Amino acid sequence: MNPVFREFYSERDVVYEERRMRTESTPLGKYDEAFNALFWEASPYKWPVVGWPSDVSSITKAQADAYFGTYYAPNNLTGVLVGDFNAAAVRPLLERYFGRLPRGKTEPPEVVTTEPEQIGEKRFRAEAETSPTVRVWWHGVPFVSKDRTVLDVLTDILSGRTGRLYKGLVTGRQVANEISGSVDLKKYEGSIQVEGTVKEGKDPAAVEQAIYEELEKLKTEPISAEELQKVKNQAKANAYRRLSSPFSIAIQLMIYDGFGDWRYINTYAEEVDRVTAADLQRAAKQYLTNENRTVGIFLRKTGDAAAAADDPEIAALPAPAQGMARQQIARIQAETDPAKLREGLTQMEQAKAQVPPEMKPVFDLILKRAQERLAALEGQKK
Amino acid sequence: VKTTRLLFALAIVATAAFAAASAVAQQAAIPDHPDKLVFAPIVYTPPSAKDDRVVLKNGMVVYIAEDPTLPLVNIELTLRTGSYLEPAGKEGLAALTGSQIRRGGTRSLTAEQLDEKLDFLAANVGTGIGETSGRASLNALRDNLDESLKVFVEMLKEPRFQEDRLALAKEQALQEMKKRNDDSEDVEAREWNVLLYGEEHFSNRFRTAASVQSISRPDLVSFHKKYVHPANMIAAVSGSFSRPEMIRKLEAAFADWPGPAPTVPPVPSEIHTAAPGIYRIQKDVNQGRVSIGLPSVRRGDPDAYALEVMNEILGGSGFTSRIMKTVRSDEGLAYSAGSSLRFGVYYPGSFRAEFQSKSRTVVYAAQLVLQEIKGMREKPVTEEELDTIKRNLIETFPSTFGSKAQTVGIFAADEYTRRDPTYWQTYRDRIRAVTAADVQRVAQKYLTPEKMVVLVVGDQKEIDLGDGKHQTSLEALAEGRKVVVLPLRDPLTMKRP
Repeated sequence: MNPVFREFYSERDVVYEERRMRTESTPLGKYDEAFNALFWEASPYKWPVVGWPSDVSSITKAQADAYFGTYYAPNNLTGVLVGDFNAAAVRPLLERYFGRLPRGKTEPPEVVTTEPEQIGEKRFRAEAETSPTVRVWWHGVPFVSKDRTVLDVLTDILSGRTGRLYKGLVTGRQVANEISGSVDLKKYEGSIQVEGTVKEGKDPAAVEQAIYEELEKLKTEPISAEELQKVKNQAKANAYRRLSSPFSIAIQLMIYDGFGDWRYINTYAEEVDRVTAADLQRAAKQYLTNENRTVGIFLRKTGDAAAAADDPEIAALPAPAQGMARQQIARIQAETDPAKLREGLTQMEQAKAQVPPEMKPVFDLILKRAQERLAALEGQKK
Repeated sequence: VKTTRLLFALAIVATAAFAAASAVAQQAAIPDHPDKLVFAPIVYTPPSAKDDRVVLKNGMVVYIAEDPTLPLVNIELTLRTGSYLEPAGKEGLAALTGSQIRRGGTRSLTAEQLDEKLDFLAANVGTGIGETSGRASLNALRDNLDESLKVFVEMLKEPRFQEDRLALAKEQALQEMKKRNDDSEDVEAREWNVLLYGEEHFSNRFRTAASVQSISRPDLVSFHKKYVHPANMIAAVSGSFSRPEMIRKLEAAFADWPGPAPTVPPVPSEIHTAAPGIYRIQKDVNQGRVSIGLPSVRRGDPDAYALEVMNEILGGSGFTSRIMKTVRSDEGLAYSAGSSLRFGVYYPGSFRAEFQSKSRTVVYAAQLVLQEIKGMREKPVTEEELDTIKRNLIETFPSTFGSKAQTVGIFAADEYTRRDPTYWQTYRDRIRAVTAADVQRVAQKYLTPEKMVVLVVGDQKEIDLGDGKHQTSLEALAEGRKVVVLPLRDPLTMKRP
């Protein structure tokens, strides 16, 4: 009713700590944020919810007051009650308690900037502390739209252990270890997202290519009746499961109402039932295009001091030899031409007999790593 | 997304008590602060386990409750097993056996056929084996329960453990291992457990590249044969069915299990806590993570209730607690700051105060947390703090049994861990009886700073620079105890360089 922002300045620091905790000090936080900002060209969805660093440290109390006055007003709020009570009996109580909140002096401004149509592929490549990962996003539809459930079913066809992507890339081509697809419906825009972890020794490019091949099949061959029925059965059963706790019901109602249609909690199953194989084929052709996608390739950060220092086999070598071994192995890891590696290996084999006994462990380790690197490079080509 | 957050803030999930309490409040004028709202006392009797307990002919204990709200049936089995039973050198076997029961097919179905069948039935089936228990769950539509249950039981009884699925799972495990040092949060959680319970404790017997590579199908077959048996299971069953009919179905489904009921060795209770001191691990991130604490007691200890109240006041109750008020609200040094208290089932639990703060303010925030810990020992808590916490624990108690699935789940877990059967009936009275003197006594007895272990994961050079305002250092906080630098472990061998 009468908030006073007594802790404004300490809380501003707290928000910055939240940013450090969720975004800056996690393996992928910064990269996810940058990828998101690349994907959205104009839409405010490109802004991170917690704020950019400079925004967090510069917001003033006057700005916070104005923001609160505009957005935390009853004309911009949705309340949800779920539980064992009589709605008619509770209604006067709501009026009595929440009715006291004054209406905002101004209506929150409309969001006027909408995302323009993407005209060409965008790419993002980064080295991070994570397993090699391929991510592809396409622009989709906002929550209130005819195609929302079509895209939902389409990504269900792709996902799960019996989905197209897992069967195609993990158990089939064996280029990925994990993969899934999902649809993200927001109030004003939406996206379709696919993400997979690259199998050891495989090339991220092979994973990306295989994703496109699977999507191409969706565009050219209609989905079988049984496959569609399987996905519909699951979607409908999951709709029941989402009703199994008051909290889950409350959350859904709130999100759906915020996005513009709370009735989706009731209509979802019917909408799923109406989706046809032709709808899915049309949507795949319409949305999953080259021009409409943004591709992220995340590689494991290599060659830094920490990684080398942690190499147990180097650490097991005599101390004076470690520096040399580290240097040589780093060069081998950086080599991308199998021919050069093969040449180096031949030379090493020839020199083997002349290696002094105290250098034997170092020599053997370098030889082993070169062979492994060569095997990995050749594995990528297959 | 901003809108969603804003809406969250206003969400109210009402309970039955809400309407009744509000009717009383309706009579009076609205007070100027929510603290002053007057509620009619909540009259609530927790459900009794006896009412839901059945023992099948094969020895399987079942807690069962009808819940016709949704056309679903939920079956959760707890299996007496765990990774503490793994042979040395085969670390990872329990987890692989647990996951491959679901992933690897059945006698009559290949892994692919099993996946397709369960997906078409829209049945959610999961299996897994953790440190001190295993679980298998089925959530199925009422209309195809018979078929889903048949597949579920065949899977548990006669898993195929298909070779290619095992090879894939081993490779996924190896890839996960490589990520072990990527996230400072993972490093902190792992090393905290080692400091508290020791390198030799079964919960710290890490799987390694070598141990996972050494695991083959016969290992899974034998681990499964040794431990997965109905006499070794406790079931929690709820959903849309008639109880007598469901019991008949379970009797039939789990009959004729091959082999004798297994005998399972007890979970070891011994722990070896690291010497008190400050342990530092270098990680190149701009926010340090700190944990401060020591082992607590086992569940059932007479001091447990006073300890619970003590921890809530110190750091366990969010914005109401002292650590959060000092570190976050007053000083703005952390987003999350607080403490947790766990009671062990098989070995002592833990007290752990923790926060994350930018490197430069790590030391100052740690000092503040240690001061709050000492404060609990030095002075009795106020009656107001005590009253707020006790009311919170007592009035939110009914939500523990918020649904039939939760209720039978708690009963099954209690039977598995052999909890004192009067626990839930007497809980609120035990909390009510806690006094400020009790809180101070247990703080003095258990919150002994000179015995505590402090773990600091982050950019150590930056942390040592301090905030430039407060004259303190980790060495000073150590008060004569040792300061140890722990190198990161190799993620595949778990050895330190």
